[in-house]
Order: sequence, then C-alpha cells, then structure tokens
Amino acid sequence: MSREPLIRARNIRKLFPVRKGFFSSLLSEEEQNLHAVDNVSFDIYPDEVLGLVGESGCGKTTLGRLLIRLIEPTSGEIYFRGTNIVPLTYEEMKQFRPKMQIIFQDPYESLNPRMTVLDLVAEPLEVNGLVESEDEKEEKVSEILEHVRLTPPEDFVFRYPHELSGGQRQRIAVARALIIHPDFVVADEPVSMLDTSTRGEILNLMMELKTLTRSYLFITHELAVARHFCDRIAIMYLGRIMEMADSDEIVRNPVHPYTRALLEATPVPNPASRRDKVNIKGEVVSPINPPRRCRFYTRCLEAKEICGKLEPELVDIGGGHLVACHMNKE
Amino acid sequence: MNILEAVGLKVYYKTVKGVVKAVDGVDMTVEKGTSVGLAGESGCGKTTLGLSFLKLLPPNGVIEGGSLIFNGDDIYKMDADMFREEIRWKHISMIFQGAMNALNPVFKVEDQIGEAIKLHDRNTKKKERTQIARDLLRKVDIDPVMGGHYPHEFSGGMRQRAMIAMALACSPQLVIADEPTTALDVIVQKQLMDLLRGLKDEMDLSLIVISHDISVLAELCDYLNIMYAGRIVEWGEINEIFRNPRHHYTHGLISTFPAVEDEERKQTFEYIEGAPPNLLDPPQGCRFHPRCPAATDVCRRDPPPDMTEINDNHRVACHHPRGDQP
Repeated sequence: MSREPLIRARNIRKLFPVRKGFFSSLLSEEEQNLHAVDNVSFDIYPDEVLGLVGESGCGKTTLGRLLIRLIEPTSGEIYFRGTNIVPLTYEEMKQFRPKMQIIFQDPYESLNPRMTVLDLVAEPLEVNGLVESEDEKEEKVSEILEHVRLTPPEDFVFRYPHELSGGQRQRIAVARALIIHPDFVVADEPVSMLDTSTRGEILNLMMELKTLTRSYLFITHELAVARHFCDRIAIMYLGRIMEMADSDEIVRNPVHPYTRALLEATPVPNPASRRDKVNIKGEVVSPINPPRRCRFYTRCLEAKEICGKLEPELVDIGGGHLVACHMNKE
Repeated sequence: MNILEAVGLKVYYKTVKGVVKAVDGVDMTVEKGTSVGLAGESGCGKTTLGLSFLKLLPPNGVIEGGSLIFNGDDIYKMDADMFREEIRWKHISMIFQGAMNALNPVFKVEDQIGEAIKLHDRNTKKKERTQIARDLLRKVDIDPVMGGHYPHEFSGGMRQRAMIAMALACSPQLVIADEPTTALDVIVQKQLMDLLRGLKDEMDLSLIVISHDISVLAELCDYLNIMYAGRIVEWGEINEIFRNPRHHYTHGLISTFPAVEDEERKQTFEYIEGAPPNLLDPPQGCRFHPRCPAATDVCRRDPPPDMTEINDNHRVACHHPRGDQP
C-alpha cells in the first residue's frame, strides 16, 4: 500500500515496573519489569479496520491505550498523520484528542450511572468545545442516536444507563465515540460482554458507521469475529506481534505455529467438524523480564535450537504477510 | 436407560416485584453415559434449571412443581438431609459458573478437594483424603504436587481444572457443568473441553453442559436442549439440530455465531432482534413471538403446542416450525 498511514507505530514499548517488597528492595535485586508491549511496529491506513487478536494478558489493551496516549509509552514513536504525538505536551495534545476515541469493553462499567443518555453522549462534544448552544448539542445528540438506532431519540435522552439493556448501553458507547467524527477509534472488545445473539447488531452498526470515522483498531480475543470484521489482523502474544496479514490470508495460510494453534482452538458451531487436540503445550509464561528468545519458545512444538537463543524479527514473507518465526527463514 | 428425568419442572423466584417464573414447565431427560447440552441467552433460566437438579436454589427460589427422577427414584420426595447425604455430590455434582473464582484463597487446593470427600465419608483419614485429592488432580492433568499450593498460585485454567477435580471427588454418576469454559482463553477452553470429554469416557459419567456459547455445546454434547424464557423450545440429537433447526430461535442462535473457517469474509453479521423478555411478565402466546421473524396472530394469541415429535431424535414447540432443509 502506497497510501500515507493514519497511524504509524514505531518500536513502541511499555514496561510496567513490578513493585518489590521492602526487604527485597534493600537487597537491591535486579529491577523487574512487566513487558506489556515490547517493540511493536505497525501502520494503520485510512479507512482500514485492523484487528488485534490475542489471549488475555498479551498486551492488546495496553497497546490500544498507548496509541491514543491514554497511557505513556516507555519508548518508541507514534505518528498520527505524520506527527509524532509521544513528545507532545498536554496542551499540544489537545488538538489531536478529538480525532481519536475509544469504545470500552464493558458497557456496565464504562457509563456513569448518574448521567442521563443526553449528558453521556454529549460529553465528548462539551469536553472538546465543539458546540456553542444547548440546541445545537441536543440536535447533534439526536442525530447520532438515530444513527445508532436508539429511536425515537426523545425516548432515550432522559434515561439512565440502568434502564437500558446491555446492547443498548453499548450503542450509547458507540454513539459517544462517534459523535465528534474522529479519525481513529480504538474498540476494545466492544462485544465480548454481550450475548452472541445480539453481538451482530453492534458489529453491523460499527461497520455501517465507519463513514463517521476513518479507521478502527478492533481489539478482540475472538479470531472468528476479527476474521469477518477486520481488513487486516495482527496476532499478539506476550507483548509482541507474531503474525500480521489480510484477514483472508491469515485464516487461509496461517504461518506462525501460534496462529495455527489459535485457529485450531477457535470453536466452530458445527458438531460435524469436531477437532483433534490443539498443537500447543504448557501455559502462557510470565511477561516479567522475558528472556531474549522467541516468546513462544516454551509452548511451541516445532521449536529448534535457534528459537531458544534469538528473538525472531517480524519479516515480510510476501504480499504484506508479516511473520516473526525462525522457521520461515529457509 | 435414563439416568435423570425431569417432568414438568417449575422453579419460581419470589421477589418484591412479583413471582419470576424462571423455569416454567420443563421436561428434560439425560440418557446414561451421554452428554446433554442446555443452550440459551442470559436470563432464560438455564442456571436455575441446573441448580434445581441439586436443590441448591437461593433462599427465595422455590420448586413449585414437577418431579425429578434419578435412577428410577423421585429425588424431590426425599427429605433434605437424605438428599444432601445421598444425592448431592455423591451422585450428582456440579462445576459452578465462574468456578475459578470459587476456591477459598486461604486453604490449600488439596484440602479443599478433601473437604468434599470428608463431608460424605467421615471415616476417611486426612492422609487418605490427600491421596485421593492428588489422584484427582493427576486425572485433570495438574501436577499432584500442586495440591499443596494455594489457589493464587494457579492460573485460571488450572483453577478451573481443580474445580472439575472437586466435582469428581465423590465419583458421581452425573456432573452438571455450568458455563465450564466461559471467560477462559480459546486455547485453554479447547484443552478443558478435551479434558471433559476424556473424563466422561474414562469415568463413565453423564454430563449436562449449560452454556450460552453454542459452539462449546457443538463440541461437547450428544443431545441439545434449547431454552427460551423458562421453557425448552427444541430438543434433538446434536447433528440433527445443527443441520436442521426447526425453531426460529434455534436457527437464530446458530446463525449468529461467526465461523472462522468461512472461506469468504462476511461484512454483515446475523443477530436476533431485541432482548429476552422479563420473566416477571412474559409475553402472551408464544414467548418468542416479539422477536420471531415468522410470528403470526396465532403466535401472539396462543401458547405454542407442546413439544411435537419430528422424528425419534428431534422435537420442537412452535406454531410454525421451519421447513425441511435440503
């Protein structure tokens, strides 16, 4: 792709220091850090949906929050339309804030129970100073509520979150993110708290309302949802991207052993195709001070000597299909 | 032979707002040695039904009617002490929902498993119980040495395995697993399903698996019950139900599940419009009619017919069941 990327992340790392007890700090042991995101680089293009898929604890939420600077990276650069936003001050950052939004996972936790739907949805407008009058505010809120199918809007504006179902609450969260027409939206597991039967409604809505924004980063632990929702998918494991490709490509030709294990383990709603045991051993290891080797080494059934000594780089194996595995070198 | 047979089961919750009919006339059978699934959205009464098989309902939950035949005896006619000593855990046990948070943090895992054994066989010595607990841990693929550790030293998947070990402590014949893999990562989920399947064959168990996730049931079960608003709306052999769902709700549940194996990328997702009804005041007629694409006046007026046989392995309760699929 020759287009200018909307977001360009370069070597971003986020280490969380692990607090030690008083006595062990006196003994001055080596400093311990949890490597939540470790040297990750990728681009998100305009009008693209990038899926970030991984198990819990792999750093996908941290990465999503880093991109919109809700938390500060330990090192690395994040370019938004060509400007590195990492060194910007609080004031300088303000011009970028309205361009990036986030939809949180749990609509039961993320909406203030004491605010009405009108206040909740209008908050981003007010915080960013985008409305002049009450009338304008109400008009904009009605318009977005129509978009997310909470109709007629008059029936909803004075309700409180507890009066709404889970699906309706999540539609409020979508409305909140999109009302200011941001360029970039981080959707952090937006449907994982909803019943499978009602998820489709939110996903369709987000797909439809892509016209109000430009790009999504869609964070999920479900490969099946990402496969249909996203243009490209990045598979994350212990703070690193293991494989990244178009969603069709990654499902048809998975290269990394971890991606293959994830695909094999993803449940299929069809009793006729029950699968064999999954090709992986052990459990996720600790992300605290990981040794310099392939992160997947301890669980990989195909690991060779080199995998235990050297961390593989993410390389293009053709057509924008990136893989970080020593086994593709030959 | 049927190991468990529920007939006309009704479980109501008495609340200040009125009576919630969480389970409203359910018939369900479990054939010995099979695995039976119970599917439905949240709030349709699945967990209540599961708990009623063990008489473990919260204080305001009352079994209003029906009988529960276990190996030929109506166990609802037993008195409470007898039920506790003879049935619960000894013959029917349960893996609870959110079980990985159900372990007591201040006791060693092997002692917690041992406690279940102690309650049903007071004559065992502590040493024997620890030995049994460690054997059980080995069965669920945990290093037996870990039994001497505390729950916080276990990962989520290991805690769930420990809970399975606890459910097996008294060698039951029937195990009820309520959302056994929910909130676990896919790989751990897959490993647990393999484990449950293996244990079922090895220990000759019968299983009831409760889940909102129809793909988990597709993987684990021989028969499937679909529950909606306190009632069973469809029952059938698992392949039969997935190939040819007759109830519109079943069809909705199956088609809303995105499949990763699809060759082509779908950019639109299926969903069932609306939400399950409030069971304080369920809709007239068929309870699914406000959300059903095929609803007619009959559905709005009359409750659906009783479960009607389509063939030996398939029954449905619907005014207008879906037709044969080629």
